[in-house]
Amino acid sequence: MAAEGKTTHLVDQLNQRALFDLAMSQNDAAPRRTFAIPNPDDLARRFPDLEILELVGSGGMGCVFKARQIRLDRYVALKILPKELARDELFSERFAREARAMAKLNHPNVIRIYDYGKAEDVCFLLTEFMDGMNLRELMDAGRLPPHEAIRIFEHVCAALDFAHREGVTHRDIKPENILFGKSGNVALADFGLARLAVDSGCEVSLTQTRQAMGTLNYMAPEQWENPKSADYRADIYSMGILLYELLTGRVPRGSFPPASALASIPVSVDEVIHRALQVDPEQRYSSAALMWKALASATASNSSCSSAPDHSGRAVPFGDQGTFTRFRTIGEQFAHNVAAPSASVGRGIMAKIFTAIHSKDAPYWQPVWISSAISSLIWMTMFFPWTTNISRRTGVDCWVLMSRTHVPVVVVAFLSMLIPILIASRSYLKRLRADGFSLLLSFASLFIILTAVNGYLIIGRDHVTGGFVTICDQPDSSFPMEPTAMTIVPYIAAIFIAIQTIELVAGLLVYLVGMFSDYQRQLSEERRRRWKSRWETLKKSLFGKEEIGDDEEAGE
Amino acid sequence: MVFPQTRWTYIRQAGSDDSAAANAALSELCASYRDPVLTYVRIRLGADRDAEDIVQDFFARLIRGDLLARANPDRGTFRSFLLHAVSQFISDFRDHQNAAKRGGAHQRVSTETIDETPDRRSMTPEQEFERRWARTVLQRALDRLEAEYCSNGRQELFNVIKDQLDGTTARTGAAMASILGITEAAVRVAVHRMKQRLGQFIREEVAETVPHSVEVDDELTRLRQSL
Repeated sequence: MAAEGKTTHLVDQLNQRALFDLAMSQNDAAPRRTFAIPNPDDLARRFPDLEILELVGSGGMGCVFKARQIRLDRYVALKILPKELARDELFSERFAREARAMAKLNHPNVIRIYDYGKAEDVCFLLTEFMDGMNLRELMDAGRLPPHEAIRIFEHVCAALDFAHREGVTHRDIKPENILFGKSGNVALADFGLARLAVDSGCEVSLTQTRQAMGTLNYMAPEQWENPKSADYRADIYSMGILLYELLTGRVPRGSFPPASALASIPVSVDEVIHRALQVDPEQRYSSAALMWKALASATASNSSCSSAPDHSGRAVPFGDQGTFTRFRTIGEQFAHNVAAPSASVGRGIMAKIFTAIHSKDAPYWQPVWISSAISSLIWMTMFFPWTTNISRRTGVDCWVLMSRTHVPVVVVAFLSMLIPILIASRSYLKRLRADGFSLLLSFASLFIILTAVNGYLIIGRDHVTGGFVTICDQPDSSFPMEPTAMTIVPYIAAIFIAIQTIELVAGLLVYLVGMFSDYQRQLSEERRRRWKSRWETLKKSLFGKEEIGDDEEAGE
Repeated sequence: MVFPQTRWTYIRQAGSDDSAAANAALSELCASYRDPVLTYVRIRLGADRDAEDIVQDFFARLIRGDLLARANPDRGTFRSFLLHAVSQFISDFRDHQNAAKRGGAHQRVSTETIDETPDRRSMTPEQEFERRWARTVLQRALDRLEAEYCSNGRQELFNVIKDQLDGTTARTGAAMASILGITEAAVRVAVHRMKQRLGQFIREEVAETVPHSVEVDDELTRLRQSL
């Protein structure tokens, strides 16, 4: 043969059986060449704006080329979809719709779409290019440590949760679609493409899509039975498989051993996987965020799962979602642990200063009262979504629940504010001033906090379950809660609980210090003297008499 | 360059029709697997015969179509077809020669002159054919792999990590990383990717010669056993 030479030698140098084993081991991977790979020259003609660099991958849902967008001088990924799809008229329409939906997914963990369309007879997608490897390659190169696996999973959860809230389902979650950048950032690719093919109803594409999924390891049962009826919860199922594979290095098939038996992870993680893999979609987690929460709490105490603290300040999965605030970067940690409590304490101090300055004219407790009233208002508004959720869950009318929960809470809160006001208006209790006042208000707040956090309100004989903690930490998939409501409430609640708690403690401390300090005694004597002189003046102006008075001295 | 599902199916379906494309595909495929056929003919007929000429003649007749029509089995791989066709061709050739000689004695030739390796002496010509076939498949896949790496300007990478393809570690990752100026993890991934690509090419090569792509694994198993 003409090619005799070094290549021949290479064949003979290598273990030929091992090479065949190599080829045979790829049986599980997507069958190659399920469709025609376009010629790069042909592509260059169709895409004059792009410099086609190399083929980076191919599968049932098309092939991907690395390319350079000449005018913007950036690398992009050019995904060419199978030709069979482009022939279908209906598909083009659906493709356009889907591409627009995908373009809305602006999230650090989702591959961005730059452009889409039809060039002659092929449909294409132009997307962000990830310069690293995919998760399949990473897993094949070696088993991942649990904390790394969980970090990757967190990012995928964040991407998926974001997409689900935008109304986009993925439908083809598998390690090949999870890409890494050079800096280790994680991004999920190919949103909705599989669904596109299934919906197109074209038999060829359906087959190809199924082939594209390899051994179909990641498909939820309902995707098998009726692909068109499967919804976003099919993604949750795939995430269960993915989590198992990430942690153990193998795909769960048939009756598989628990993940905790194969990897050094807590047993509670098995429960998370088990729940995601329920056959009935209703029984699975109702969102990716809930699944991540469950996993995070399952692994929180485990040292092998928790990585070293992340001080890089890198964009954090849930961080930039507006509604879903996690306290992960240093700045956020600072805000959570230091700034908010200081603001609360600061409010108390400001009240003190304010009163010290204006004590001649204004009632001492006014600023504190105002601030606490504002807090109460915020609490009231916050309870509203909470109650609607409980009402949806229990089937009890929302207003009935409101009357059982809000009204008593608000009444108690107001009473607890009114009583000191009434008491304070009595001259013999004048000395119970702002500090004590603040204390009482804080006790009222505590009542609200405890009832909310503990998960039920004890109103009459009824226990209404479903406090923030119950809702958020023990998610129930049958619980029909909107992701937005669910995600925003606990974090705002956490902040307010923190503020109120700090206020309580600070109020108590300030009161105790004031009670035992000499300054307090001096201040009260000074105030008493001032009140006395004012009272004298008042008496004079009203009655013009000198002998009436000093009754409040007697009352003490 | 668009490949049909399997080239062998395409050729067979074209059948005896005078399809130029099918003929071109067949001759290309034949040229690829000339080596095992040549080895087989050499063993069967002995080195003193001009095996090259016979093989040339065989392929010429095959591509002309008269062999394809005669020896075309309904099912089976291109390998089994080719073996069947060439053995029949040799028998015919001998009959022809014997007829010419009017009962001239058959000439048996030992295989020692062909293959020096002692443990392969016991191999039948068919086994040797399969072994050479397997080697050709690998060689073609490796050629394609190298060509691809060269066309991407990654020839150096290919040359450094090519001996890692069979999984026997001749060099450490660190040594390769220092040669290539990349990290060890990157070498690992590069090796992994190259292995994957090679496996893919091997599968593709085999897929060309089987009636249906689902039979690739059977054929791979068969070829592996032949080694």
